[in-house]
Order: sequence, then structure tokens, then C-alpha cells
Amino acid sequence: MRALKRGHKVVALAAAGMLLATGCGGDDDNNAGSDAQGNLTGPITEGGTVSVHGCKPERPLLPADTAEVCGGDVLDNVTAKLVRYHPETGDLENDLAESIETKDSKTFTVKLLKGVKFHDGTEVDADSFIDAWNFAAYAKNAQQNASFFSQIQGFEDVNPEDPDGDGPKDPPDPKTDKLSGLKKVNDTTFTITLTRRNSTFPIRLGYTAFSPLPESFFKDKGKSFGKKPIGAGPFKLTSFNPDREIVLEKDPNYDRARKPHIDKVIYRIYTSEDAAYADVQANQLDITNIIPTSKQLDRLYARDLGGRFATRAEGVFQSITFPPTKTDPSYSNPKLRQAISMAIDREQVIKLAFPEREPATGWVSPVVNGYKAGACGEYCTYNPERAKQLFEEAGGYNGTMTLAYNGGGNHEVWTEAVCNSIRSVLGVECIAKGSVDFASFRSAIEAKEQKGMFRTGWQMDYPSIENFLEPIYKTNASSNDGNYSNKEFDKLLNDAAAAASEEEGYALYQQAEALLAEDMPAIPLWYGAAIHGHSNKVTNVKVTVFGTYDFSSVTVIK
Amino acid sequence: MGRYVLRRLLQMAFVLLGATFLVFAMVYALPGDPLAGKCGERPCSAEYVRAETERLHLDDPLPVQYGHYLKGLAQGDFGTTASGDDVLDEIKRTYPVTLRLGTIAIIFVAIVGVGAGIIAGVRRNGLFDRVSLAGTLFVISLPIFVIGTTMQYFLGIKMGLFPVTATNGSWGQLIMPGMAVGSLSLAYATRITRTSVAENLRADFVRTARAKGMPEHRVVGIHTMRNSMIPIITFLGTEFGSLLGGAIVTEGIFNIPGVGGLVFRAIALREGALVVGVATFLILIFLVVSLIIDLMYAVLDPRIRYE
Repeated sequence: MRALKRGHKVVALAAAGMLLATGCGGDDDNNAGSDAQGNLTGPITEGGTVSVHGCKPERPLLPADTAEVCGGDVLDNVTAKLVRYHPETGDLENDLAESIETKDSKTFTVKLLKGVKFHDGTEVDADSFIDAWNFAAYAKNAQQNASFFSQIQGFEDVNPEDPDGDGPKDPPDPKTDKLSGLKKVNDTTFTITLTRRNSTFPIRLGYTAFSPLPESFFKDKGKSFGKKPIGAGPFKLTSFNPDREIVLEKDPNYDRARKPHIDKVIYRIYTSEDAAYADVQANQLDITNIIPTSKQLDRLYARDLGGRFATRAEGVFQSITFPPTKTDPSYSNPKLRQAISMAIDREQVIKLAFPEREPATGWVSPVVNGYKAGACGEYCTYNPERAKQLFEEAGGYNGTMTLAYNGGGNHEVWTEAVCNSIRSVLGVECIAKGSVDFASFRSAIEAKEQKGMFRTGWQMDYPSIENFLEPIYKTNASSNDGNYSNKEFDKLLNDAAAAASEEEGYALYQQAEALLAEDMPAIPLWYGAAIHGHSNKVTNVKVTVFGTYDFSSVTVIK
Repeated sequence: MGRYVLRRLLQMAFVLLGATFLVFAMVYALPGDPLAGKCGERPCSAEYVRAETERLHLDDPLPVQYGHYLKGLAQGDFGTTASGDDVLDEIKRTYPVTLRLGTIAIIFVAIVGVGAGIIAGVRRNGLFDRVSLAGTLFVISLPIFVIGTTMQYFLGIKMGLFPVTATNGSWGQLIMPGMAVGSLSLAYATRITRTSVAENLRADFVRTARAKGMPEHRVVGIHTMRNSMIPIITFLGTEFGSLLGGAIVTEGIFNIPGVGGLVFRAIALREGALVVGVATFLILIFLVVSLIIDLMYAVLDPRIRYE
């Protein structure tokens, strides 16, 4: 089972006990299917069926309503978006868009490829996007990914803010059901206007929620679509049995780049990662992108699978977040936070819990453009003397520190180890505290009632340095669990978004990230990596920077 | 007999009502917001919360919520899950698999377990008896998790005799998991049968039958067995009943798309409607199975009469 939220996969994966199933690496040495440059090394054959580890989607398969990996992975192969991410590097490539142009980073003109068709034979045109995005953003449709459209002009009219948060009063009714920032120019051209300048905006357009929708979707507001989604992607969904398997077949009309070599993909639904792993071991399942925690100890999987596995860095960031000062003022001194960070022996904990991970030196994953190593500086290096010194300067800590985690998610070992490290360096009592499950864990955090430190994780929605900073640390951002607020940081983010060139933007984002080292709202722990195993029936097996299957490379051995 | 059945059915209605209320209360009165964690690292949108609150009647007090649920139930509506699936559909999809698994397990137990028990009972204190005693003791002491994964590893992965998992839930795929889940009951069945047979072999009517010159196979096969069957049937019946409730651990190990996995996932995802729906269904099944067992006593032993 996975209660996995896409875009927030990590936490959710963790809920399902899978988080720690992704070990870390960043080296491609073990990749049996490709060489160090990521080129395919196995023979390329056309056709064949590949079975992969899948899980049961939690919600109907609507692009804007799917926020977890089980449904999201399937949808990503069925739908096409304006852009896509290079599976190996995460770089942006045009897909349905012929071009996306802007002069002021505020209004973007999108020209579509002509003659592209959905799986049901209807044409992908400007309306397919405008209608789909309006549907996704409109409050009454209650789509989980609605907030992805919040930068587009007119969002607050279709999705008014609740005046008291989640409170007793309902938000006002939306004034309109159309985003004023979306304008059709002609059948293959439309414009997107944002509320403020953002040069990184096109990067997010490859996210599932931005998929175009065929006309048939709107007939019943996606009711039948949810069981049989229709997109313009390389695969079409041909059968959907949520308890057993989801079958995708190659769309014969698909002729854009990254055309798959295989004909058919079967997502076999597993409730436990161990069962999927056992099937791969016996060559009865072709690929799993999750290796059970128990098999990561001592790198057991390497022995079990022989050469049939590979690891790669993925856009995942793990941290410990401090509670909002209002909830628990005892951690409000940045020096105390830095002391705690320096008291954690990351290498040691990694060695104990997941031998392949890489310690974090900042708040941004190394897989994205704009990443700069060492943003956290000395504060993320284990240094008992300096930690103790900072701890004393901060005035120590009264009482017992707690580190909360969601129970049942394989977090016991590492949280205990982190607490041990803190205890032995700072001489303060530290307890790892598990909550019943993911839901109660998150509800306390979201209600800002969680006292003490708590574990957090982030899986990028799209490969951008911005995605690791803005949603988590900007004032009032959607995932700002620690209620971190720094005006200078916010301003730098805004300036970075409005920057004239990418490089200029990256420099500003990096400056913003550097501020986090001073304030330390969250302690960086380590970066994620995907490990996947495969059967002896397939070759050229790779996973993307998102840790998902790359069906454009895998081939069947004949 | 008819009156007895009627009385039992009436009792069942009350048990069902009470049990579902308890399950319902436990699911929906759990501390914490049932919608929390539904949207990952970020809080759910207000509209989503509103739509879900309305769908689940979360604003109403518990008895009213339960009333809504009962009203649906009376119309054959077990509710819907967050993904918009009908709970009854989910049960219909998963139940045949669990039924198959339970059937294979119980047949396995009935043939191997009861068979071994009869032999052990007839040849009490012989070599077979001693070996089976030691064997069953060993099996009883093993948790199902160990038995299941060991079988999976050696019979499935190493020797390739069986499919490693049962993702399709077909009869063939379920043989190994069926044996795994039956292995514990097997040990108990052997021991109960052995005792029961051994005891009856010393009974007066057996001595009489032998004295009349009845061949030994008839003495054991007909006279002893019929009388020994009552505790065995009771045991097999309740075992079958609980197997129909889904073998959560076994279904997990072998990835069987049955009711056990459904319940497990529903609890983990806090799919209240699904938990209550499946629980209601399982309570119903269990009640029916236990009624059938009770009625079978009368068939086996003419001295038992139901009024």
C-alpha cells in the first residue's frame, strides 16, 4: 500500500513504509543498462510487454486530481503536456508545444504542434488546454492540484481564499469559472498571463496537472475519464482493474520524440514492496522502482539481484523541521537550531539506516539546475565541539527534545540514531516520538499543533531549484510547515522569478538558500536516490530524475 | 428446526446492527481529522474538504452519520470510497479471490490434516503418531509470516515450482498461499482429529461393532468417524469462517488481491467507508457460517435436535 502523494511522495511513501526504500547514490556505476553517460548499452529491440510494480490509485485518474504516485505514474505515460523533462537530466524539452515564448516573463505565448491527436482521435488544440486548466483551477471542482494554477492571472476569482483558513466560515463563491489569464489566439496558439513575472514558469508545465483534456472529458466532468483517462501521450490505457493491474498499450499514432520501443506496459498492483521484490528476484516481474528497506541493509539487494539493479540520484530532499515559534517557542533561537544540526552525524546515520544515501549540504537536490553544493556550509557538517559551543551560546535547552515521525513508515531506526547523536554531543535528552500513522502525523503538523522537531521530506514536482525553496520556506507557502518567514528571503525569491536570465535567477535563488543557513528553519539531512531492480527479460532499464520508470528506453530481450 | 433458524436469523440482525455500530464508531470517532494527510505535504484545499465533508456527513454527530450509513445499507449501498469506487463493487471484485484461497486452504487442511489425524489416532503411540506430534508442534510454533516467506523463497524463487505471488488471484496461483495459510490449521486439525478418533475407538459402540464381527475399515470409517466428526467440523467451520475474513498477512506476502489486503489498505489510507463496509460484510459472512456449522451437528448426530 502506498498513501503516496505525488509531489510530496516522500512523506507519503514514508507513510507506506517505503520512504527509506529509496536509498541514495548519485553514481551510475551499477547501472547495468547504460554506461556512465547514460547511453543505452543493451541491444534495442522493438515490441514486447514489460510488467512493472504499480500500486492502487487513491483517486479517480484525473490529471488535476491526482496528487499521489500510484495514479500519477500511470497518468504521466498516458498524457502529454506542453513540455516534458529529459528522463536522464531533467532538462526541459518541448512536447506538445512547438514554442513557448515570452518577452517580459509575465505573458507567455504558446504555439502548439499541429495535428496532434488524443487517443480518442480528437485534435489537441488551444481549447484542450484552456478548458482543462479552467476546470482544474475552478474551486467548485475541488481538484487536489488546483493550487498549481495559482500564478495565473484571475486565480483568486475562480478559487477564492478561505477567509479563516480551514475554519468555520466557507470561502466565498467564485466569481467566475474562467481564468482571465488564459486567452485563445487561434486554434493552435494561446497566451498565459501571470499575476507577476516568473521566468521559471514554463518549467512546471510538464507536471501532470497541466495536461490538456479532450472534449469528452467535460461531458460528465471526468466521471468516465477517471476510469479510462484519454491523453496524447505515448501510451493509451486499455484496461484498468484497480486491484490487479493497469494495462497501457503503445499508441500507434504517437510519433514524437521519446517514442517507446515496447508495445505494452502492465502495472501490476502490489500491496507490499516485498512481494514485488520477490517477483523481480524470480524474474516474474520485470521492474520495481522500490527496494524494501530490509533488503537495503548491507546492500542485500546487490547479492539477491546480481547485476539486475541500478541506483541514481532523484529529486528528493529529507529534513527535520522546527515547529512554528507560536506552537513551540523553545527552538526559536537559530543558534540552537544550528547546534542541533551540527550535532547530527549524518554519515553515521546513513551508514546505519541506508548505506547508499548522500548527506545533504543544502536545501536543494543536486539533480536540478541551479543547484550549488555546500549552501548550508559548516552548519551541516558534524562537529561536536562547535555544536557544543553554539549550544552554550544559545543558552542550552531546558527539558527533553522530541523528534516526531509517522509510525509504520520505517522511520524508527534513523530518528533514534539522530536523537542518539544529538544526545551524546549536546548532552540533552532527545526522544524519537512515533505517531500512529501518517494521517495523524500530518494533521498535527498542518494544524500547527506539533510541538518539538518533526521529520519532513520533499519530492520535487518539477525539476527546478525554485520547487525546493518557494513551496516550503516562503512566507505562508502551501507546505511551509515551520511557518518560516523572512522578508529578505521572500524578496530574493520574487526577484529570482522575475530575473531576466536563467543564470541570474539561479544566483538569486542561491542567495536565498544561503539565508536558510543563517535561520535554519529546517535541518537538511540527506538527498534521495532511486534504486530499482529488474528481471533478466529486459534491458536498458532506467528510471527518471523523479524515480519513475523511463519507458522510452527500456527494451525487451528477445 | 425452522423455528430455530428463524430465531437465529433474528439474533443475527441484532448482532449485525451492534457490531457495525461499534466498527463505525471506532472508525469515525478516531482522533484526528479523517481528511488529514489526504493531500500529502500540503493541506487539502477548502473546496476538497467541503466536498468530502458533505459526502461523508462529517459535520453531523456520530449517531446521525450512522443513521445515514444504515439507510444506505438497507438499500444495498455500502458507500463509496475517496476514489469514487463503490464499496460493494470492491468487495465483489476481491471476494472471489479470498473465497478461493479459503477453499484451497480448508481442502488442504481437511485432506492432509484430518487424514494424518485419523492415522495417528488409529495407530496411537506408533511411529507415525510420534512424528506427526512433533511435526505439528513445530508448525504451530511458527508464525505465518515465517512459513509464508520461507515457502515463497524456496518453492517459488529458488525451485520455481509455484508462482511467487498471486497477483491475478487464479486457482493455480493460490495453491502455495493456500497451503501456507492452511498450515497452521493443519496442525490443530491433526491433533483434534487424533484425540477424537482415539477416544471414540475406545467407546462402547465400537467394541460392539467389533464384537459383531464388522470389518475394521467399517468400524473406523463409518462408526468411529461419524462420531468423531463433530469437533472436527466445528473446528474446520470456524477456521473457514475466519479464512473468509481474509488472511491479511498471507495476502500481503503473496500479494493476493483479496479482502485481507483491501481491509489493510483501507485502514492505512483511512478509507472509513471501505473499512466499515468490508467489516459489515465479514460479520455477515461469519454469522452465516456459524449458523451452518450449528445446523450440521444435527445432521451428524441424530441425538442433537433443534427446537
